[in-house]
Amino acid sequence: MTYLTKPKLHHPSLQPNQLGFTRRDYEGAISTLCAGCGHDSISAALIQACYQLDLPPHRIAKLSGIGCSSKTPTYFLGASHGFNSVHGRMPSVLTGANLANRDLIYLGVSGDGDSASIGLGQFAHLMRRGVNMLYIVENNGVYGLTKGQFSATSDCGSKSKKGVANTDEAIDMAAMALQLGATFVARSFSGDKTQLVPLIEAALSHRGTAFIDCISPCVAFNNHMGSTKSFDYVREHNEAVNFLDVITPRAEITTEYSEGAVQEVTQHDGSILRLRKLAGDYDVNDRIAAMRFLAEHAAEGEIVTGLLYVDPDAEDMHLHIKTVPTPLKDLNETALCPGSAALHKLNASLR
Amino acid sequence: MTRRFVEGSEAIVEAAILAGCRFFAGYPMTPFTEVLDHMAEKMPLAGGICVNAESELEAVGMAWGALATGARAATGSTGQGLSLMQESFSEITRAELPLVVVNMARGQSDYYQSTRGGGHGDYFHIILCPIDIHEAVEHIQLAFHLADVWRNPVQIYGDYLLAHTAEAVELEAIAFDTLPAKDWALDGSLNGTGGSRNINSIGMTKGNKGIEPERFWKRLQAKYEAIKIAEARHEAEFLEDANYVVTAFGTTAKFVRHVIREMRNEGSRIGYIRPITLWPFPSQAFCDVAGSVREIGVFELNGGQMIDDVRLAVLGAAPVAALGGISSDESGFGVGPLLNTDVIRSILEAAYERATGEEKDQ
Repeated sequence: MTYLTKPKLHHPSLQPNQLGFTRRDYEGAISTLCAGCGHDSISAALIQACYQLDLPPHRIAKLSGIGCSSKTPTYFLGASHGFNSVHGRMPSVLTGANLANRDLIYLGVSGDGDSASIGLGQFAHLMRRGVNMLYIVENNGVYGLTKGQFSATSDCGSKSKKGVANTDEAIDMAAMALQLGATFVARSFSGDKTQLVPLIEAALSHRGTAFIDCISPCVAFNNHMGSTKSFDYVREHNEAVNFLDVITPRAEITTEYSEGAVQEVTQHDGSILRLRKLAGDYDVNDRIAAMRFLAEHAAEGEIVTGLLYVDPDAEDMHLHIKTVPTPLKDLNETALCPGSAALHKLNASLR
Repeated sequence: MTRRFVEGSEAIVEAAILAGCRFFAGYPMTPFTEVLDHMAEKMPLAGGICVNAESELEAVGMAWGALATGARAATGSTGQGLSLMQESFSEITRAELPLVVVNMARGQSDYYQSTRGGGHGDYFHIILCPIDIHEAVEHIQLAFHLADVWRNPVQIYGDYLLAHTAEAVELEAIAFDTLPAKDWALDGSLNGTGGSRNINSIGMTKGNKGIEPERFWKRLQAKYEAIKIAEARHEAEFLEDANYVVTAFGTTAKFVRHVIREMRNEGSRIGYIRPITLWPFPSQAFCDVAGSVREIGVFELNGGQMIDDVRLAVLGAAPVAALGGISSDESGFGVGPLLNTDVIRSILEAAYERATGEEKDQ
């Protein structure tokens, strides 16, 4: 595997965040993806969001599967923990890690091949369970690493680079996430950093499963005429429902909006999601309306982006299954081996 | 007879079509992807079907279904993909379905995976391991034939070099003996007669209560014993007076064979054995030389896997030494610095000298 490290140089004008880290401290190795790859823009957005949220890099765990998207964790958050699992199995590995150590911030990076084909089952069950994480799918509608086969999110009728039309129906990952119970669902576009960065910030601040379907054109195999995942096509058919500002508990609220054009959502951690409405009275708290809105606009060939749904009071899997609050690695001998009296009590409770 | 200069992947696909294969399902993965690409292009032109599956799990399932209807069907992948298919391989084998698997392995580290079954249960697959594209064209046709003869999966163990290099080959159909009709296939021909069929992997026969696993498994083992006797294949050179024998498999053997021929020309009494079937392993070929050689050197590009089969073959009658080792390119496709005739030559010369006490030019 090609791996290029960056020199440890900081431009003196780089501003540190509240932890004293600069944006450079959140970067990774030099990307070996194709020049212009949408995935590199998503990596840049993740770096920006983590820097702005003042997240300690050592508290972030980034997990991925297999594919171009799953290579990207090498290219951002170089000081964070990484786990590259196998094809389509990131959700289960992340679920296990999260249950065993709830103290980390979990970031799952996957692609349409990894999550919509072999990993679809695990994707679905992670959404159902409400694992506390940001699940981001870098969606290019094509298998880039194996040179251009259609993926399961490729739209029916979308053409391959060789001009062959896809005959299978597409899986809409955001629609699935909504149906399966994700408590934060967004769609964005790698070419729209102003939309993507706040969405990542909001998702990282969310308790429960946050899902972002990020359309990310493949410049090598899916950026041609006839493709519905090309830069040009996505720009022309992008239908943003809102524009998001994330206000962390520490930040000062400065921007003013006219009444009625803004919806505010306060999340569990105190962060305020200030949504500038772009599509009439779109309500981000209405799951069923969101599903209908997506389906109607998909039928018209539009790609709905923005924050599609959020449940600010969501719970997560730890609450659902009543786990111990301590990470398992921190349980001491007394906790792990409480003695025969405790065992008798437990056995008695089951009789 | 006309020769064409074709890439290994393309030659394998054309040979499969010549063999009557009309169903293929797979999932792209280097270095197997080009097999799937050529299948997708050529299979429909031959009136066949090729599906780019959701994963290897789905691909093997589709092939399983197609086989059950009596079609000649195949799947393929590389080691990681075959790992995913193991559960189905195991069941398909016990359902006695003639699956052909095109394995374009990432080097030689999947010898165990291929030769030890790989999934649950007591079973083997016939593993054909071609040295070059010419032999692969023969093997893929033989694979479909043997799969039908024995009603057992057959795998072609190829690799990156086989899949991605081109050779001038003759693509001609091989005439095999006529096979009996597939009287087990779910072909719908017996509707209404009460003779409908049931394909399963637990030895259940229609009309019987219970499944008698012991009797069923013993019958399968008897089949494997018969395959061991009938199908073990190998290639050998210079064994008559050899006091040192080197063995290698697959495309690596082509490099080794070249070096051995050179050393022979220069006077070394060195010989060569190449297992063509990795299972059944051609044990007899090794037994036959064990008494007359100083050592058997095993040149394989892995941590030492085939060496176990060589040791089991000679049972201590000759020393067995590992001459290869782990060697790979930076992408992990198994094309490493040891795959070099100059390097192999220095390794074989040193081993020969150490074991026989003879300088190469004596």
